[in-house]
Amino acid sequence: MTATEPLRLLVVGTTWPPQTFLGRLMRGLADRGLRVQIAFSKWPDEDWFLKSKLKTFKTRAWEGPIPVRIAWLAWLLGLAILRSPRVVGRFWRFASGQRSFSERLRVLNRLLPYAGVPCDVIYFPWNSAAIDYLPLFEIDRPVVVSCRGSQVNVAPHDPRRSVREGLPVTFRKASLVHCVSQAIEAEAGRYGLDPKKSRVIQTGVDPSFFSPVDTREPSDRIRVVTTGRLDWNKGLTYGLQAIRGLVDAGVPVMFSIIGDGPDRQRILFAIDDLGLHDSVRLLGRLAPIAVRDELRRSDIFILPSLTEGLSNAAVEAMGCGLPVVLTDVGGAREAVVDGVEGFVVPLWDSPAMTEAVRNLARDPQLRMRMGRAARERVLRDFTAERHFREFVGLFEECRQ
Amino acid sequence: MKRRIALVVPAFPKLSETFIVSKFMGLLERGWDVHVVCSTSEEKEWARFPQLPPGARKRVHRGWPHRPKWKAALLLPFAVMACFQAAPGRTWRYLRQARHREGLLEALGRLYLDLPLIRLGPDVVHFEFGALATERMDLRELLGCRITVSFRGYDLNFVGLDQPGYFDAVWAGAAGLHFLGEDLWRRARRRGCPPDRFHMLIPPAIDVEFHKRDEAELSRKSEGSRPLRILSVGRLEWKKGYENALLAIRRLLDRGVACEYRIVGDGDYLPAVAFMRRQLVLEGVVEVLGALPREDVRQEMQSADVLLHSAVSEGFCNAVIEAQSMELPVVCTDADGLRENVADGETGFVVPRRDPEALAAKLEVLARDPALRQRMGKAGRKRVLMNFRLSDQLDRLEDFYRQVLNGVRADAGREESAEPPPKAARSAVRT
Repeated sequence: MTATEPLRLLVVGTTWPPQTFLGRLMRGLADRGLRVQIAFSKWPDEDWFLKSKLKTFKTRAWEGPIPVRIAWLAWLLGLAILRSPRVVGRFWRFASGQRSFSERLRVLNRLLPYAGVPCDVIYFPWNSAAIDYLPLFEIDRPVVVSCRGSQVNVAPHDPRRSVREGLPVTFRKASLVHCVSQAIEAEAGRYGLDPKKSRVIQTGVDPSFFSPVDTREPSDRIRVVTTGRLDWNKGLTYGLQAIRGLVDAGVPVMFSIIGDGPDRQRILFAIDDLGLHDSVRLLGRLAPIAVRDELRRSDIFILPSLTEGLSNAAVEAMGCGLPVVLTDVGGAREAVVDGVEGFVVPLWDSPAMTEAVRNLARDPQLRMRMGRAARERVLRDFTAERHFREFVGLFEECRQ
Repeated sequence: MKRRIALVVPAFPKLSETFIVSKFMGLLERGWDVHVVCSTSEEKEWARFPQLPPGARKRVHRGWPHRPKWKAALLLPFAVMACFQAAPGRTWRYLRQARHREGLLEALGRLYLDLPLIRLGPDVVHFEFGALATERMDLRELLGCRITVSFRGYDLNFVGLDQPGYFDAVWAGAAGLHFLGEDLWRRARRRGCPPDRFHMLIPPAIDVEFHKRDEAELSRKSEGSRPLRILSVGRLEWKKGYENALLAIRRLLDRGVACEYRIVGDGDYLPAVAFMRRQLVLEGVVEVLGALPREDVRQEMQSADVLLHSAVSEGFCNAVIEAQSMELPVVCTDADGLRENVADGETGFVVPRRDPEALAAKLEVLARDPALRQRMGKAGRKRVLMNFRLSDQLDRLEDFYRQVLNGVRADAGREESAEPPPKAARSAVRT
């Protein structure tokens, strides 16, 4: 096989539609000549997808009326046997090892769509996917697994999941492992990741999309913004306490929260309980372009996370020329040098975050200087171009 | 004959809602014709309540399945028949009115959901949680009954906060409102409840005989230099604020106070708690025991030194009452009803919520002063006997229902109202 032939990549274990950053990565790879094959469980109608060069095939969650499930499974089985009886045999043996009959069917339903799909490299964008699809490691194709954040930082400590047991197995079997930051690489090392196998590829954004505007609309308030899933590990209640601190210090502030998630009610309660109705806007989930516009309208980006890999959201904000205030978790210090592109503040310490935001709020010069530094940092270290290139390199390295 | 009351809850029986079981049994023993209407009722939960009398099952009515939809559609004709067979007049009246409001198809759909209530035809429909009542206030006309609603915390604290007027229908239509305490009543008014609504403040109550310190085991407790045993009892949910508890434990250890922390409870925040335990290097100090049956919870309280309750939002908290009854000093936050639950400085300490430092400071005070722990424990027991006895609560509940049935007409949403009776006023315990 020569390197000029397009590399066929099989992406396994994405939800549909995929997270914005993952969708971007897939498209970026396809645009660079990879043949990216991705499974979907629902007919995609997203505009970006229809325009992209991704190859897709259909999976179906194990749910709905029983006859439909059985019919679907039979169809899958027939198709898979036609394509690759050897792999089906392997999957079948794996499924036979499951405890209950229904569990066996569930496993087959999960695995069979991938049997015999022609590919050079299998890519799991999530650790949990790699654990769920363990037999795919056995079909003589190189496998790449991504360590992105909470699945290495949080999930292993969850006694209800078997991630702690699963991670070492997948790390051992994988050809190469991608880590989003050095911090994640170190954490993954605790679960047996061999540093020789590990490749750190930090996140990247399109700097022509996430770009600053020359003049921000004037405002009599400091506009603080954060984006992310409303989830406990984003530590938003600490962010809100920090905003309360600003209000108490007499700083006129408006805090915009972009995102939705299971913690929405908690956030609503915290806003109410802290008396922040007039200082916080909960904007919900927004399309990327609306996120970008909101970032451009803001003065400061904060991220009070309790755990992170390396935050895409923060890098996007930096691309838009915003100074950022991050908690000192995960790869925060790999993205921001404290005092240059923004501030890195200690965890569990909302007064420290208040202080950092306050420093920025009262000094427009400082904001501008740090915002500019953030933009330069993105152009230097966090472009999508570099991100895609390194990923292509990673997969090519695997193929050889 | 006693009047018929239907208690509406999502699930019955349920370990974390033992108070509903106590209320049900209490009213039953006092001769009320009380029934429970719920959507789920699990066998494994029944096994946790051996105290429920044999006849109880006949009084628990489960709604018919409404998912998958095709199943519900198939069952609908049978549901209509079942209603007509049990109560032809009531069903007719219900259908006629519901149809008039929203069309026949919707009326039939609603009948399917309200089936147990139509068959029962209660004098009072009591929604045990405010959030259950918001869209069902028209039962008042459809069934010709009186509607009463309990507010227990989460409903008023954060449900529908982003929707102004979320509870307006409830304020307008309920014949009686029950709040666990002064704080919830204040919140209700803030969320639009007119101050003249008929309401009673009835705090939760516990079985003071069951939750009683076993003196025989007391000697073991007084041993000298072992780590302070800290206990929390409560579901693993964000509103319980466990992150602040864990941070407080970390600080306590950093100050050289030896302690161990056990958490009884289960829930969606288990990953968060497990993660923080690791992040704060508290493995070996903090143990999460999961949900436990009440006998085991009692045992945990028996062998603990302090109950820690770090909630950011809390209706009243039965576990805190139980701990006081077990002579445990309590360190808790000032979230909502907790201020009325614990007498600050007497039966424990009440500190600002979201303030791990304050929690740690009070824990340290208790850790260094066994005599104070004992004194506060005794005061707690006394307080519970004074304020939170099951029998007193049942007296008040009976009083509440009598007033709803006698004093206020069924259709009197707006016209009639009553001052809270003196008994309720007394329930607003010292703050």
